[in-house]
Amino acid sequence: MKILRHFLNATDPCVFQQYIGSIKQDKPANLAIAFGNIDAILHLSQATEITQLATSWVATSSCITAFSDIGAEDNQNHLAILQFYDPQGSYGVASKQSSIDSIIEDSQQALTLALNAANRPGELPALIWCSQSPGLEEGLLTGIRQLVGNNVPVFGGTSADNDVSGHWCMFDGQQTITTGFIIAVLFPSTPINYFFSSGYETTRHTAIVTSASGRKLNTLNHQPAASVYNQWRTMMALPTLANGPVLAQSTFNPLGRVILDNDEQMTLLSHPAFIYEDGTMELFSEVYQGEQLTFMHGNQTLLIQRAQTVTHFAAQQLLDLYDSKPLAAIVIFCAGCMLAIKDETNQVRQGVEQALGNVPFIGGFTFGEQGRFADGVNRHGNLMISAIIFGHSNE
Amino acid sequence: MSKNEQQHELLMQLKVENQKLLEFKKLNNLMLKTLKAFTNNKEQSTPFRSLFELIAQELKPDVQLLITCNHENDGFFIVSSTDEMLIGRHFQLDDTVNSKPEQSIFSQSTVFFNLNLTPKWPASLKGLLPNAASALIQPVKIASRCYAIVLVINEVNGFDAEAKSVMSNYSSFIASTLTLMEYRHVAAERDTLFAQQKRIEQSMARQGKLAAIGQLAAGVAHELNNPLGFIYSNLNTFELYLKDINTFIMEVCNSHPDSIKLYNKHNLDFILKDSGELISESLEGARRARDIIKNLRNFSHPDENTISTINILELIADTVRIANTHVRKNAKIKISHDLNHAFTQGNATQLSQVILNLINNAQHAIEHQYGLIEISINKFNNWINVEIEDNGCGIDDADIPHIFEPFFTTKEIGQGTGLGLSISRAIIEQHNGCIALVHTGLKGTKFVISLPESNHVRDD
Repeated sequence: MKILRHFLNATDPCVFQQYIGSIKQDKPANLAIAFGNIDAILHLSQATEITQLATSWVATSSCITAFSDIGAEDNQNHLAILQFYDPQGSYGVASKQSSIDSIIEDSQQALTLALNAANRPGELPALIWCSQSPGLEEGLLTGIRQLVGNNVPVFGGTSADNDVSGHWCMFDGQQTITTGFIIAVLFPSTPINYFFSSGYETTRHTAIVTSASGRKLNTLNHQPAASVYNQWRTMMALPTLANGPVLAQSTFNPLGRVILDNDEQMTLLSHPAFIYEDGTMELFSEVYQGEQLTFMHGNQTLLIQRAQTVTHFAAQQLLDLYDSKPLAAIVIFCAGCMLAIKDETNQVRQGVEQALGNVPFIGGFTFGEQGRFADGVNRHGNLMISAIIFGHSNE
Repeated sequence: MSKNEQQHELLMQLKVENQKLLEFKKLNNLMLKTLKAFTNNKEQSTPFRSLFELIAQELKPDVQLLITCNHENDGFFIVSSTDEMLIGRHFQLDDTVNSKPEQSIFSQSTVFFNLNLTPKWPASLKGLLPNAASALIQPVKIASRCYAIVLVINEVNGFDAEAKSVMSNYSSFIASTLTLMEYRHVAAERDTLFAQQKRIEQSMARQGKLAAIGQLAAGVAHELNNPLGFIYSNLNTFELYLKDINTFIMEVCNSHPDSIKLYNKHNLDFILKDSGELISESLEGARRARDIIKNLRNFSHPDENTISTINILELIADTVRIANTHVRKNAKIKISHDLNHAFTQGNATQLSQVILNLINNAQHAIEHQYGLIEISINKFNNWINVEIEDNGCGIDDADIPHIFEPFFTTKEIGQGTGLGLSISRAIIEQHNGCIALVHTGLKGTKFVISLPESNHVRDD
């Protein structure tokens, strides 16, 4: 197993094409996973000889920029790529243009196609990597769950743009997808470990969802959801939020979906995006009637520390469990969190770098994060952070 | 971060670690129980069954198989299974999907979440396991062979990545344990080989002694032959002289009747008659001594490469005569046939050795004082059959498959070489014949030797 990391400046398409030509190897990689802002992904999709770099691609647009262990002088138009050369492993990718109505069926079909592409139909991969447009996450995970259960970890990030204007995109090596998804199945010859968590603290303010529909939260404890949310903010000495888009203002105070596993409480974050005049709220992930929500609290320091902690834990576990040292890593950091700490983003990168030592890594800022929670269930959340570590062979 | 939150964070990490630890607990349980099962179980045929029971406790598969590849036909053989009906069954890989066993799905750790989706699951295995819906395959490689454990559940999504991880880690342990057992087996084989080596050395020493005795016997036979020659010659002459003396005495008695009194007084009638019998018996004794010396010389100067036409009847009679010297202690040898002759082409010394081996074995099997070794000779089509039957203790059932193997013996070390029957079979097969055990039991044992009858001389 060999993993190469590239961090290419994609500002000028011609120069970018030259970079692409310069990193070609004798044989294409089995898989490439990439993050870059919209321009970088579009330049990648327009470049030639892409399939000579890797036979399959999962390139996801990242908010503002992507990051890697190589620090960038400016924060824009970079494409961060991990190339997986693994002759003993198997990799397959499938993609689909999809919609909220067909996503469950489409994700099942695509997963089957990806397994076929890896020449491992019917077999359980070590990891499923996914990238999708906002809104399709829960359906995608449901489709995957219907085919393979929760028996395999599913990680990934929702494609993002710079201003939630809907320009996010993905590229699978052949086509650019704006509403749909890409699924990759990984059967690597070396161990993988991961951790998925949030960087927020719970508070004592909780309520039960008494009415919700998909991502629209109507009432909490039979009161308009926005009213309850603003009451909590007041009690925490925070300004209340007016009707309209609230994504940026609510970043440090999302809602936490309480997940109980053997009496142990875990929280999956849901990011408020919009407050309607009727007091209902639009969230960035689904909530369900009867679910307990808690008011979460975060701050810059917590978020900056968080990526390092999550990465360190995942790497340490890789060593403890598989006697394997990190070979490369992918870190997913919520775009909302990044926008909240924008000026300190480089500290996040440095924290990950510190946790991994000289190990190459790439990362993206996404509009939703998917991962396997501590209870062994794959979920979609907001404002989450995940680290996936690819290890050296432990033989 | 608040202390409370730090504790919660730690709790989350511990939760993930706990999941992994549970996985390791399963593994540890398996390993501990396996160690106990393997160390307590002395019979090597049962460890796989113990293994299945342990795996069933942790992973709950519906069916378990232990398979090994059969390189002769690029297929697989089910060594053991929780389903008794499957043990010993063979199955093939599908030609279109798999190429060779060592590159097949059974050579790598794999979980099939839905067997209906894969063309790699062999059709012949599908036939054996029609209800199988998901499977976990774990190869187990030890130095001498490649095995694979196949776990099957009759529902899709039966196994998760943790089950695969448990089996993957467990397989190394199984392989190590099996290797350990194999070492034990090798050590036992080494001990057997040492015992065989000791027997060979003793056999060589004995053959050396026998060769020396043979040379001595040849010398003694040569030296005895001369005095025996003049004893034989003198007795013949003395027999003629006695006839003349007898004639003279009769004539004197006829011409001088007074001498009859003197004749009777000295009991010359008895003396003359008894003298004739004494000479006759002495001549018979001398003839027997001459035959024994002749046989000794034949054994001492083996003509191993000489092929000639042999009358089996004479060869058996000669061999029995030699064997009788030690057999007569506890057994009688009875020869029966209704043939005038039975000719075969071969080496007399070697064939005699075979008959002698069988007689010796028969005698060793007789542990009482009423031993009887019956040798019957008959012909069927163009074959001469020599049956040698004893009324000894018979051969144990467990030993029967091994009696023709070199160095196999039931005698104590130093008492037998274990080569007798194996050499006998080699000799008989060199003569285009065969040797077989007809029956054995508590009432005795019967062997038969069949040799081709020589073409140029026939009984009828």
